[in-house]
Amino acid sequence: MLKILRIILLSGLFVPALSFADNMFVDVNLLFSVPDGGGNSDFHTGKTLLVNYNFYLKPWLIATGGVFVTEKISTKPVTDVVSKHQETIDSRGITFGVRSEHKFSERNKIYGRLGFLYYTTELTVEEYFTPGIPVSKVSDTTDGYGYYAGIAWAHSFSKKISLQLELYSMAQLDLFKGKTSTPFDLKNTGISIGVGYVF
Amino acid sequence: MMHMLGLSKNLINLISVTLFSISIVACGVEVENNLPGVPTTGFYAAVGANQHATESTVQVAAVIFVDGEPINLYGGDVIQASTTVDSTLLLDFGYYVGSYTSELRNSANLDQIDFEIVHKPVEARKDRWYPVDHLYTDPGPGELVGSSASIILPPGLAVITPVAGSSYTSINDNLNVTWTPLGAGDVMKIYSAVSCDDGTKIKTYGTQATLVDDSDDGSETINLDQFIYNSENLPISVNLIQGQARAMLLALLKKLSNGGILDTFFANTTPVNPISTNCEVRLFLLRQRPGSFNLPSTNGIVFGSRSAEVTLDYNPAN
Repeated sequence: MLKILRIILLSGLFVPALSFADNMFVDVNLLFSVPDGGGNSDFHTGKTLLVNYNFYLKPWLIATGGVFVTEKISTKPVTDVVSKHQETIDSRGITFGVRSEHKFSERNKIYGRLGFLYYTTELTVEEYFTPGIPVSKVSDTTDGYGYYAGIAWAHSFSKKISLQLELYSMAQLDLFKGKTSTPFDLKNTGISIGVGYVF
Repeated sequence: MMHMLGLSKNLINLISVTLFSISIVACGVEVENNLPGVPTTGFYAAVGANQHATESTVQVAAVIFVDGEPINLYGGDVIQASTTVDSTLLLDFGYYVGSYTSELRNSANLDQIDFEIVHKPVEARKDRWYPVDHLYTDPGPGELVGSSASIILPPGLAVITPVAGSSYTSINDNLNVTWTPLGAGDVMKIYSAVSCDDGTKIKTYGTQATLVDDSDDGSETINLDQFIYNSENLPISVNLIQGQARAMLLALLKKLSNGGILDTFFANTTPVNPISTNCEVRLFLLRQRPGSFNLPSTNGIVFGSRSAEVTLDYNPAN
């Protein structure tokens, strides 16, 4: 968490410079996805809120940075030899990347974006063994790096407001590296709906 | 198999247990997947291992009951099957409620298979997707940990006759099943997995043959009506495969077909009459040898076997 705060503070040093840019906009997106932890992970659909700050480097090239936070997303309960168990994850983090646009009509454009992310994720494991033994709940937090990519269509309703529909994927790499012999990657791919606002 | 610490009052003296078929409705369909023949009081364990002629793995299975109800192991208590070289944990749920199964690699083709209830809280969770060595709770070993049984697999065998592809046209035909005998006191079993195809539907079922002499003497003459029957005559004349035999043969068929066989293979629900239909009969010959629980007073059944098969055709005369 301290790492995230340091990065955000460092990013803030550039805000005064950015405020003089000709075109800046913010987009807020809600991603609907089914997380994939690999193996037999079987999550419910979850939602992730992504907020990005964007400024044009060129008419077709945008630098973008933002934050994301997921809701608590659980797996479907599974019974195996040990217990009936269910896992829950929730993540938050920051993103840095670029976005490239192509405007094909006055109000419509397509864009793609690519970048890196820094995540903090909490994983909770809940187990029910047998009557008479209390339900067990263990959790831990991990952080690390990953990447994201997306491709989208945006439609402008006015000069300032646009709607964007995006196919988006983010990957958190090597969760719990250093704490386990089996670190894993967590991928989130889905459809996001968002709104952009031009300053 | 199980030393029931503090529960000796409920132990029943070791008896010879014969698993008998549950009542079968007219269409020959089981209505529940509970292992039949389990006593309604006391502890009871059923343990088995079989290695098929063409395989280098042993199918292992076990289930424990108390007062007729299966015990669910939990918290890292798990049944381990091992030779002196290889081992496996029984992490898969078997066909019957409360049963656990696995495949034990038998790289050295050893005969002795040991079963033991062990406490392995991390290894028992190894199939989960997240880091189980970092996030787990250990409620501690249960009272069954340490209980064990041993099986000695009998020597392997091969079906000499009938030869593969032999064709029969009437259920009155006789099969002369021969193999190289050992005369070591083992018991012979003959099971079948039958598929009958009338061109539009396929009926599948399995049978247990009733042998005149189940000793390992190298020869047994069986009538084909132990595998092919007339479904219009009720009750049906074959002995449909049940119990541990059914679970073992189903697991073997799934292994041999790389999972292509469904759990419903022996459900016998398709309305096709075998006697008037072209059928494929996979005949399985088993050489079976009883094992032992670490406590002789344990009630239950434990056996090891090796099997071989031959495929025959039934093409009824028009």
